[in-house]
Order: sequence, then C-alpha cells, then structure tokens
Amino acid sequence: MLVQAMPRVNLARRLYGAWHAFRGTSRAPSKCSDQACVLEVNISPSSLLKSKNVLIAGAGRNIGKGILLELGRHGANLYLTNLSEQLCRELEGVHYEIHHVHPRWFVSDIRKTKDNERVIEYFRVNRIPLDILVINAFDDSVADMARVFETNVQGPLSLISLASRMMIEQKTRGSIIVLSSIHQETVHRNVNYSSSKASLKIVVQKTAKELAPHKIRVNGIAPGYVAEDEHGQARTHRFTPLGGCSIPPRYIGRTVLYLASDQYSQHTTGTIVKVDAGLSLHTYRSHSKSANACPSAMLSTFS
Amino acid sequence: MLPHDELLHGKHVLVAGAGRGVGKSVLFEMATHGAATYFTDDDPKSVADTMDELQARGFQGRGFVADTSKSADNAGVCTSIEDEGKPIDVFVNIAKSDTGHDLATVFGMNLIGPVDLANRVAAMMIQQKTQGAIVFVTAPQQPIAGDTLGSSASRAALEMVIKELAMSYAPHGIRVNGIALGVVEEDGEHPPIPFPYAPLWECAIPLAYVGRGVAFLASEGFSGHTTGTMVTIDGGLSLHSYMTLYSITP
Repeated sequence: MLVQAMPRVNLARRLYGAWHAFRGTSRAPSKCSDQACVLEVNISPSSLLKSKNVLIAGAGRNIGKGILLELGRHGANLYLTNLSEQLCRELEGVHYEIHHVHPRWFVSDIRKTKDNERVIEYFRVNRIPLDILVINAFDDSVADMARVFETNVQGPLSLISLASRMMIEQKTRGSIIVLSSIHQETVHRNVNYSSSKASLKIVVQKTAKELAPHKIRVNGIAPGYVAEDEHGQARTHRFTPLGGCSIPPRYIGRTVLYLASDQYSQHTTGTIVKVDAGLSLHTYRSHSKSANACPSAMLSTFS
Repeated sequence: MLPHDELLHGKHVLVAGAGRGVGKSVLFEMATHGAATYFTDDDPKSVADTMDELQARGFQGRGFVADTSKSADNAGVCTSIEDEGKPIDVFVNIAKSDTGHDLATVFGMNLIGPVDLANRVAAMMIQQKTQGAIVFVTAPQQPIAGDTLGSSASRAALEMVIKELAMSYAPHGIRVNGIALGVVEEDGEHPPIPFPYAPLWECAIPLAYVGRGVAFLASEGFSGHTTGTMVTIDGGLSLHSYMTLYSITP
C-alpha cells in the first residue's frame, strides 16, 4: 500500500539507488567500503624542487592548499596569493607530515592588474627568480558571467604575461601550470564556468606557443572531482569510476610536481593533463549492463 | 631527482616492443626506477642484446621473443609470466613506427595486437587483485614525409581505446593511460638532434623523457587517481597550425 501511494519517480529513484548501492559494493570489494576508498601511496620527500621559487595564485583551500603542501615536501620556496587575509594567515606556518611549510603570502585579486603587478614587483625588486607559477584561482558564479571570465581567463592571462616577462628578464627557464577543469570539454550545467575553462585551455596552448622560444613551459591540469574530508581522506563519489571516490588534493599537487620539474617534463609544453579518475568518461552507457562486460572476459584468439 | 630506485620499487613491469629505440629506453627507465622487468620484441637478436645490456647494468629482467600482433604469442608471454608466479603491476606498450607497412598491418601491430595483450595482462591483474597500470605509448612521429596514414589513424583509435579500457577496468582499480609523442630521437647516445618545428627546445625529444613520462603514469604515488588520460610529450610540436606560420607579434 505504502509503495503504491508513493509517486512513480520516487520509486524509480529508490530502486536505482538500491541497485547502485548493490553495485558499489560488488564492483570493487577490495578497495571500497561505505567510507571512501583507499588508494594511497606516497612518494617520499625529495629535493626535486630544491631552491625553486614557486608562486601559487589562489592557494587557500582544497586544490590550492594541496599543491602548496605537496610542493613544500619537495623543497620549493613557496609564495601564495589569496583574496582572504584570514586564509593566508592560516597557511602561514603549516605542519604537514614531518615538514614545516612556511609560505610567504600576498592578499591579491587575480582580476586586478594592479594586484598582479604588485606581486610580480615583489619578486623583481627583491631579485627573486620566479621558477614556477601555478594559477589555481577560479570563480564559478552562476550569476555573473563577466566576473567569471575576469577571474578564469583575463586574470590568468594578465598574470602569465607579467610573470613571463619577468622570467625572460631574469633568464629563468620557468614552468607555468594552469588549473583548468574537465569541464573545459564536458557539460557542467554552469555555462559561465565551463565556457571560461574552455577559453583557458586555449590560453594555455597559445601562451605555450608564444613562450616556447624563451624556454618557458606552459601546461595545464584538468582535475575531476577533488575533495577530502577533515581527516585528509577521499570522499565517496559514485560517479568517479576509479575507486568510487574523490581525488585527494595532494594528487593534483603531485601532477603539478611532475609538470614543474625539469627532470621529468622538460620537453612537455602546451599539454593539459587530465586527472579525473575517469570522471569525464561517464556517459549514458556507463550504467548499461551490456556495456559493462569486461573486455578481458571476451578474449578471442586470432592468427 | 626523486630517490631513483623508489618510484617503482618492487613492481613488475612488462614492456612490449622493447628491443630498440623508444621501447628500450622506456625499459631501462623503468628498471632505473626500481622495477623488475619483462619485455618482448619480435627480433631475437634485439631481445638477446637487450638482455645482455640489462644484466651488464645490474638490472633484473627477462625477455621474450614474441610478436605482439599475434594473439598466440601474447598468450604465450602471459602464461610464461604466470608460471613464474609474479604479478604484473605495469604494462607498457610501445607502438612501432609504421613506415613501409600497409594499413591492416599497422592496425594489427599498433592497435589490435597491443589491445589483446593489454586485455590478457588486465585479466592477470584482476585474477591476482593487482591494482595495476596500463600505459600505451603512441608511435613517435617521423620527421620525414612518409606513409603516416596508419600512424595517425591508429593513434586516433588508440585514444578511444584508452578511454574505453579506462572505464572497463576502473572497477578493478586498474588505470589505463597513454602518452602521445612528438618527434623523438631514435637512440639516445648522442647530443639532441635539431628539429626546428618543436618550438620549445627545437630538438627531437631525448628518449629519457619518454621513460619518465611512463614512470609518472605507472607510479601510483604520482598518478594513482589518473585514468583515461593522454599525456602529450612533444616539445610543443602539436601547437603548430597554419596561423603560427604568420609572424604576428603579440
């Protein structure tokens, strides 16, 4: 009686949920529990970025913080910008594992050319060679398209041109890393955000081409769903195919490490590395039974 | 550099097509990063030479004479490794350059065969509950004009293969990624070869950097949450378009 009284949609949704819960436990029992999965392998601290000066625009929480802490483990001198002074102060002296990360910070708005100039001027006046620039600042407002483009496209472009001009003066063979999103190509349901990230992709490719003669590399990272809980663990996320969980921010940090390090990626420019645990591959067929047959179970023999 | 022998320490890596060139350099880079290696090549002499070189440098390794485009050879390789009782943690396939072959041969060599071997290795990984990694390396582009239809068509197909297999094996914790190469030097024993169309260093990519890209995608620490991704290593070569031929100053 009760079930019949409920609207059809709800029933369908509940059945779908139950089916999914069933699948969630049956798909990867070794790895996933009700809590998030464990896919945690550390790479030990190194001197990969020793005495490299890194500026991270928009480091405060989540991805920005993950990058900051991860690069700190590999010996970089850290500089960060954020809109909020409070967030900057929180990151003033952070204990991360056995490391004490001690970044210098600037309260700065990437939309304002004056702010960007002030930050870059600090490096120039103090004769600090800028080796690595990471741009993570973003805006995903639904209401204000102009502001989103100022933050996600014009701002980064202005910061890249100011920073690269200084890198050329300082003769540093720098590396610039721009945080885009898988929504540069997949629908987000927020036209402002996804269209601005699509532009950002072209910004990466265009500046990579322009700065190549100066031996400055420009690359991007397109993350999927990045989050962690208060204990630094991944969150359950059923639409992420690999592990069924969010990507911990430190893994974005490690991709930045790869793209920042000359030893690993000296010949990589204009590339956008997707780090999404398969999230962008999700399609309408992802839940179809016939599509989920494993190719290794259907091995045939040919000549 | 990261502590060198650590990134792939204790991992067993199978590199298909490692007798010479890019494949061989990837093999040695894997070994340098601490992995125990298996490799295949269709030329018995290359296999023997590579084995000698591995031993001379004090690395563990075992080579198989096998043609990746033959399903029976692939099954044989997998059975031999299974008999040793070692799990495969990483499978790397190096596509060959296609000059002088017809389209069907190129597809068999660079696509159908490797996908068959990848599926066999994945079946082993699933059975042994290894959360492994599969890396496809595309054929390096040739700086000389030639028959490149097979190369570009199989490369396009490979991008889709990577996405499909990434989805298929994600529930088992197996990651599938690829590396798209630009113009790469043929062997790494000399100073960089000038190549003006790669805007960054104006040279062909030194072989070591291909191996380091593979190490990045093979290491769980580095890329444990990366799957279905194509990483381009081409010194900016693919940024070329007809517009970049005009000299417009920004």
